[in-house]
Amino acid sequence: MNQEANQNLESFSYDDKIVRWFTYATLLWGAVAMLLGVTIAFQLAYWKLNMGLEWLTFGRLRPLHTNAAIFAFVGNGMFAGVYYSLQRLCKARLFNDLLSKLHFWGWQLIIVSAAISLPLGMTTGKEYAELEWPIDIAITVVWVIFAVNFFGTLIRRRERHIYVAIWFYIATIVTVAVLHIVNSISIPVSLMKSYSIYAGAQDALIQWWYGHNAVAFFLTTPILGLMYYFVPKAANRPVYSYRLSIVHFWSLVFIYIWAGPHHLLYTALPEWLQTVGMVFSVALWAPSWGGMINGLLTLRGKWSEVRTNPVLKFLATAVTFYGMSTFEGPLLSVKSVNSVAHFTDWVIGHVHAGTIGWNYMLTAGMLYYLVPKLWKTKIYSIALANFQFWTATIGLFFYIVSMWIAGVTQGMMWRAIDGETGTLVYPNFIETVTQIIPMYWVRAIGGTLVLISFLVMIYNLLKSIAASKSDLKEEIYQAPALSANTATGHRKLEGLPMIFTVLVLLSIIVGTVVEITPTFLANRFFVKSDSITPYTPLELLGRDVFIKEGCYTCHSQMVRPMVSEQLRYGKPSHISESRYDHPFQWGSRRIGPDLARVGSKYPHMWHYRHMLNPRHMTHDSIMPNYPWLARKKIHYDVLEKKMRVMQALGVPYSDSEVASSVEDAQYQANEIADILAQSGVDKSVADKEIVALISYLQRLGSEVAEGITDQEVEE
Amino acid sequence: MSNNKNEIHESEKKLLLNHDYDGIQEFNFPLPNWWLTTFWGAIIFGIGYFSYYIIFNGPDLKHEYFVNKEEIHALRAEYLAKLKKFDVNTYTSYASSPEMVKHGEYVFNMNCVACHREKGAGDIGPNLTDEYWLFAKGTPETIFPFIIEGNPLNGMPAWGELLGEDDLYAVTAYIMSIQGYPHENPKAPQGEIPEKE
Repeated sequence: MNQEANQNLESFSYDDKIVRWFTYATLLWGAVAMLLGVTIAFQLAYWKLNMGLEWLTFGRLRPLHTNAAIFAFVGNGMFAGVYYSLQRLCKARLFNDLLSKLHFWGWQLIIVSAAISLPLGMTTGKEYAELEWPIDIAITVVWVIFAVNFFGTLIRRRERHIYVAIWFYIATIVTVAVLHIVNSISIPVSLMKSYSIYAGAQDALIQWWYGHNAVAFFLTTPILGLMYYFVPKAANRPVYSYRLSIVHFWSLVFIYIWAGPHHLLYTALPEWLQTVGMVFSVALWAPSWGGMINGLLTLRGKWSEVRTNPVLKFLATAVTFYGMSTFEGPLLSVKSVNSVAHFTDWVIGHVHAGTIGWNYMLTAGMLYYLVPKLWKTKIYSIALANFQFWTATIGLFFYIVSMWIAGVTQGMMWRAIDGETGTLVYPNFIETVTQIIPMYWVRAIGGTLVLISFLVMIYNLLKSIAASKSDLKEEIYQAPALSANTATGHRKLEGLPMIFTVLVLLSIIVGTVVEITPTFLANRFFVKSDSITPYTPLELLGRDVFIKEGCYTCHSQMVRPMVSEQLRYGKPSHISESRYDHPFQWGSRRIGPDLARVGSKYPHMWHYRHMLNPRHMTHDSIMPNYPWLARKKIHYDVLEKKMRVMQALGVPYSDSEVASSVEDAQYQANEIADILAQSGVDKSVADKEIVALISYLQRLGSEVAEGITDQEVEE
Repeated sequence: MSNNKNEIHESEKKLLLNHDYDGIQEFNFPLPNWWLTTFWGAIIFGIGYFSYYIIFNGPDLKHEYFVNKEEIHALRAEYLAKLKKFDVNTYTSYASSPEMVKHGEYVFNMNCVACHREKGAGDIGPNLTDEYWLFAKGTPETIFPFIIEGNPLNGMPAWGELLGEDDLYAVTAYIMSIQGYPHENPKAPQGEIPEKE
């Protein structure tokens, strides 16, 4: 270097303290998320593990598990990796140390509030977006802090062009913000209760646009960015193909956002949207594999090292599982495959191939790379890392295979029709449950192995950190200031991060607008059917009990247009039936039977006994007992406010209906209590939650069953 | 800071780009052909699929449903009509076999006990052992088809679709076997005493 260049050098340091904090948080919340996963896995295998405590039932812990795994474990891991790599790829310190700290503590506070509010039954009832509105606002604030810190660093960078890892980080920050805000819009009823502004099919569409893209832009794009940093760093090999990076990045970002409706195949969602969801999911296969190719082929010539170096071993395995999951995803999106797999454990297995195989493995590889660098130490034990690797891999194998078997078995049993008699071969739903219980045990054991492997890593890394002798003073680096952007084409764009960001935003807006706008405009989404009346005040309260207990985690409310479903449940669900459902409750898994048409199928007393102990009515049921529903009083004090909010959302309640809502609800509750009293239940049951829940369940599907004909279903 | 120690093979050198980020370099290998085929293939498939089913109104999901439904419901109606025909001889063979009545008790305990209580004392559903009847008339000829058809509005499922012919005859025989059973705390009578024919 000549003299002139030296004079232009600027000095800077990296904030690695915040990376160390996020590393600790990743370890803590990873263990919590996996412990919760193991707990609910055993609850399905053995119902008594629901403990008879409302805070520990499957319906409340399952949302906590998913939120903890996605936002606490992967979230903190992502922040650690992004903040570490961003500074080095930009040759710049993070924009603001205080913002970094606010980001860290804000995020941990959100996680703690989730860990408290979800077991208490405070939930919006929308999957992976269960957190109530004050926490949603906090998430928005912290995400904005993250974005300001991120883009501030980009502006202060000393590297002209932004590397492909940063492209993926940009896609993450922009898209998650859009997804979270649009999907979470709701009107509060009280401090921890709100109703989504969307209803029925529209809510379903927006929820799965969010849900699918939470997978895409929280569990995939940031992790691909981390892959693009840590794989070439750890392997000391150049990235395989820059051209492929460009093509697969833009195609992935553009196509992913369209694929949400594949979660709603065969539902009451208009079919053109379902088809859009399917074809874009199939088209996602190649863009996803572009990332896998670039990851794996970067390791060319390094395979012998993959066997010995734990960092490379975890990274290579992660990329392989990424390839597997992103092949399985498009496959599951094909309508005929989906007709078997939807609502079954196959989907659960698919998700865990992604979260354990891709997210956990990549995070592990990243941490084994980061910890020695961040603490200036060595990995305590390579043998333990290998032990961890094999425990996790075998555990994951048990998990995926058991869920494949369980999913396909149950899916085939549900649809089996006797060719001679035209009746269901397994008419009792419970038969299809007891059949797969052994697989639930295998899955729980597999999950336990994964948890053990994670605890081993925590031990291994903490021992490595404890062995660190050097002080962790920040080092000073030097680099010239930002040079002029003289490149052309895409290379020029890489020198203009703000324009790059705008283009990413436009890419994800296209699919969003095309799919969602019609739901606001077209009448076909809200077919006017006079036979649909809003819920009575008591039914509305019962619906909130249904949501509070997380019933939707095990019960769908969506009969698909298949004869096997029609024989088992009744007429296919019609789009108009859920038009007043804020939020929709179509569900995603049938651990228990569909409830869309359960109304008036059983007497009130059947439901009463069934809620107290499901095994009284169905001998082998795995549903928890809900005795507290017969003890807890109905909250009539918020009813009028709830009615008013619903009114504001367009549910046609008249002012007089709102004014008399408490009286009307109590009248209906007394009617139900009178009938229960005939079977010996104490009349004091009238003001208990169980009565509200029964009124809701008895209402489900009964109106449309009378009003909508098959021909109307066909329209 | 371009002192990276990346391993680069001789044959790859011409594909190495002048990119360096924190020591990370990039090749510019061409896109693999099989990848490009997959990429464009999936997009062309998508356009074709969407055009056929949506733009040109190909058969929709419900079309298949209605075709299958017609076929299966015809089979089912035939089966249920045949099933409902009470055959006295078959019934007698079941009713006279203690083994079959015992099987009927098992079927009853698996399916009916939740609403009709042990030995049909009545609970959510009516007492099955007294002289009063709501829908059936206390004879095997009337009980058998009622079990098959049920009365969904009153919460009695249509068991014809849930139980096989054997189970249905056996459980009818069992219900007849518990007529007049001396329950300690039976449900109050519902319905009427049928007129003797």
